[in-house]
Amino acid sequence: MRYITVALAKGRLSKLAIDIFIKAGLQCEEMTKETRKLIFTDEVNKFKFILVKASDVPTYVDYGAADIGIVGKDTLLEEGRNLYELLTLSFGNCKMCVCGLPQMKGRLEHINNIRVATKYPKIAKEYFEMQKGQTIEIIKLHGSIELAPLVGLSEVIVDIVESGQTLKENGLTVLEEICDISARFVVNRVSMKMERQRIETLMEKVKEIYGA
Amino acid sequence: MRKLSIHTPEGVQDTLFEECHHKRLVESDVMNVFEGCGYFEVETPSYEYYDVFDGLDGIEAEKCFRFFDRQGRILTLRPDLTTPISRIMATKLENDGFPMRISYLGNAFRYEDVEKGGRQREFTQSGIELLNDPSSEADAEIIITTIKALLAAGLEEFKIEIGQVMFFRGLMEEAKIEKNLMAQIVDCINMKDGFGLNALLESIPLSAEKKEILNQITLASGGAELLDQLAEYPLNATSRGALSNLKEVYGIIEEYGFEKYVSIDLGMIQSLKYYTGITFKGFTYGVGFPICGGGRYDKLSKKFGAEISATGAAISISRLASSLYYQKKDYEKVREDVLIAYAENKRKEAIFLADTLRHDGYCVVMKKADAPDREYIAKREIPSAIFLLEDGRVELFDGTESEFTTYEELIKEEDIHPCDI
Repeated sequence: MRYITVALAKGRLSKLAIDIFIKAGLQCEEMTKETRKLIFTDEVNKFKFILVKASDVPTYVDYGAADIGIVGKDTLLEEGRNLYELLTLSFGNCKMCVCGLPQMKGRLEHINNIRVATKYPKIAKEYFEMQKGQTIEIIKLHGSIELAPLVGLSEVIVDIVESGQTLKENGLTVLEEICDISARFVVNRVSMKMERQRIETLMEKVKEIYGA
Repeated sequence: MRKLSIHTPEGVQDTLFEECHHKRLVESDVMNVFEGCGYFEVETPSYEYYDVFDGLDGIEAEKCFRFFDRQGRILTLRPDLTTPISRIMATKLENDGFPMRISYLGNAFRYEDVEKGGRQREFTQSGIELLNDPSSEADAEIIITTIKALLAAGLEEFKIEIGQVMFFRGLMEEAKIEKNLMAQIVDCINMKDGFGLNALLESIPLSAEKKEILNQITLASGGAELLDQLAEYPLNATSRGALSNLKEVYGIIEEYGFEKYVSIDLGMIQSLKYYTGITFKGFTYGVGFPICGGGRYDKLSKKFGAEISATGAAISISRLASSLYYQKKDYEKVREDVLIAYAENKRKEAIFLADTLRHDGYCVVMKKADAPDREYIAKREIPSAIFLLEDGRVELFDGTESEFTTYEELIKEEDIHPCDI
């Protein structure tokens, strides 16, 4: 039997995902321990688990280096790869939003050259250009996005909002909602055809435990 | 600045000896099957007027390598090999109503995002087109010939997934759905995203039954039983026609005993504007992308002022070769069998000897050398060598031991086999 490789986004999402896989009967307890290993093997069920950076999960799955991935919809939208998104998992529910200072509410359309700071240039560009028909200037940042409007780097930001606490503490507010973001169970297109049965069995189990 | 002269541009590659040889073997395996099934080869130019490809679904202008001729007309490196064949069929061949079988092998060029999806910008495709035959037999023949070609190339484990775009079109025929929303629905089905699909369907005036079917085709995949299941729903003529087309095609594939290679996936609805019937894609281990694909495209010839039904398949030679390589399938390797090294006064004898051996099918390399050059044959792993020495002696060397004879002795034997040396 071939190994089926599962790519997990390092961090909070991987902990939740590992929990599900353990409940689904896979042997990946080793991953719950403090370790620096990046690859884990379940010899009984012939599964391999790899830990990668969230934004790399779609890449591993697209090339077939991993058959399955657990990753946020935000990363999928930003990476824009051709994968099967088989399940939506009910953890990690957030929203992708346009945020800014409260006085910006309702004024977005009237700003001529709007600067948007974000970790998600593709999502931001598509939303403003395709859905709103507005040309924007993207300022790509890698963290602490909320700072940008406060120091005059940009008019607004596009970012993930979960509780809204960070926004509130920095005097920002949600101006527009772009879409819901949740965790997805993604599968490589070839793996789905070649290993359909094993992948579907795992999917069914995951669905029973957490699925929507 | 980076020194460009020592690099190849992004998306194009050199193919060296072993790999190149392997690729040629795969190409000839595939082309031999095509020819044996009556698909004769044509060659079209590497570049054409851009107008030939303009407006085709899936070939966006920015994906074409475009340039101008001296009159300012836009040319493009061919982004695909099927369209020129449709042009030929519509403009150069007599449309006598009989089926026409055509094959091709060549490189196509597309401005792909190299970092995304492992696609090269120059890629080799070989394929077949069956024109002027709208029947299910023709659809089946294309899939069967493709399977035969993959098998001939040495591939054993692979899956051909078959869809039929008219089934989905039929479902959507009566529903008035705005273009943007329709595109999103198609995306969801293609991504097998049942959750996203249901969220979209909520706001759409479509019967509960149709929504159920959409959900089913998004996830289900299977054999003939799937078609029977779907046939139980109330469907319009378009959808029903699609199902019976699929059923016939599947039945023919069964008669060939090839059903283990195929399954049905009605959720495969890419390039809706281009395809008008059966579509299919082939998958195997080792490459994360489809190795072949095709389908029926009856509308393409309209672009060239004709109405010719058409169905075809294309195999990605590079992907097929790399999956065979990954699956460690054996093939005949290239190697130099014999080195003939000769002193200058023995050139004539060397030439005769070399040509005799070549005639027997050996690969022979020659080298003028005053003394036996053992280092060279060790480095290139040549299994045997013949040294024609200046004094008339002939040294036969098998990599470890030497034996001496004369030229006259050597050619006296009826066959000269380097293995016997």
